[in-house]
Amino acid sequence: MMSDIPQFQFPKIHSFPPLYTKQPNTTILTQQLEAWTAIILEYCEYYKITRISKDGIPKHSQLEIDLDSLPPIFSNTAINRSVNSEFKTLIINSLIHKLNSGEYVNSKKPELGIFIYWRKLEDWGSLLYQYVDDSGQLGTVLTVYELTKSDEGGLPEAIRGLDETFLIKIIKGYLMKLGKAQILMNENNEIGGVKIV
Amino acid sequence: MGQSTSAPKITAQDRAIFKLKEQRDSIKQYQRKLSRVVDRQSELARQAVKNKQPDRAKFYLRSKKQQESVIAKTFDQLDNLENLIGTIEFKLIEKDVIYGLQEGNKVLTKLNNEMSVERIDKVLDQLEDERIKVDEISDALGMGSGLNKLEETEVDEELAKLNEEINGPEVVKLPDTPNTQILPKAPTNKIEDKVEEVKEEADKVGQQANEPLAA
Repeated sequence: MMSDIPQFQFPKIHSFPPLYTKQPNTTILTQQLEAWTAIILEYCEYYKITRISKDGIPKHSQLEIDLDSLPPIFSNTAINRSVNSEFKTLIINSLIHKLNSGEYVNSKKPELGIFIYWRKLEDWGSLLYQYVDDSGQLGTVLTVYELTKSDEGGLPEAIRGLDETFLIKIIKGYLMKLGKAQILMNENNEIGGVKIV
Repeated sequence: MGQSTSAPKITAQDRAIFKLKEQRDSIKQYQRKLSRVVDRQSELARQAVKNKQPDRAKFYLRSKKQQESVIAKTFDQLDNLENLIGTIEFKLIEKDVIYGLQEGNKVLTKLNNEMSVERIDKVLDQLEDERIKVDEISDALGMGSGLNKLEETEVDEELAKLNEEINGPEVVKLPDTPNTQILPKAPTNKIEDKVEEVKEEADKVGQQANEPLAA
């Protein structure tokens, strides 16, 4: 089922041609990077996108939407402009290192894309923990499948439809560090389950 | 993993439940796949009918039917698995409850042993003895309450005097006479009839009394 949501309204600056070219002046460049990172975060939050490719193509959304039909982030056909890949990398690095609002899924495999933290990892972790607590499932083994794909599990909307790798990231990057979770490996030696206490 | 904080332990039961849940998930996944196939086959059958290919349509419908019966079977399996998972989880809770009961029982027994009646009697006796000793010592030292009876009355009198000085002489307040009518109301009707009846009866009794007794 496709849910139809109105298209994201880019801010006005997205139609401003100079935004698409890396500016030589450092002050202006800083502002430019701020504008771009803000656009990415707003865009991803709007479409509930948790992962994009290093070229800025949405990789996973919590919503059941056709990712190919979304308007591109880094280009604007109306003004016939798009960001080149060198500048894209700069923008994404700024998002990751300056704002701490993004992270490579696997720094050794950049092709897997980048997690976009329009919600902080800790807040994701709290939401997940709260759900498990509220549903009386603390101390029960839960599978990654039932936490991500189950259509009957009664998952709250905020954490429904998560990417498996993203769920694992929340568990490993936050809950396990607090000592509140332990993972279980499946036969393929992948993370298949979790016990949250 | 090099965790600095202590991670929750995964027990053998956890692993068993995990295995079962994984199987459940794979059945669900399989069902999902099959229902997609079924949808596709009904669509194909519809098209075949439109294209006047009844044989083909029948083939799709037959295969669709088969998939549907497979789905029905997987639901049974799913039910079994869910039941098993539920039972195991419930047994684990029961185990905890029994453990809790055992521990509670142990503590209660221990407490009861400490609180045997003889022991308490002994402790109370000792307490009484000690109290008596304290009184004896106080008396011996001329302390205790300190005053004799005469002195106590003198104190009371002085207190009364002080009271009078400060609060004025004590007025003894008598209770008010009651305002409410406490006498029952005299009956107002048929009083004469009753009197007559009474008279008649009295007469009867009188007559009887006056008649000579048959000897």
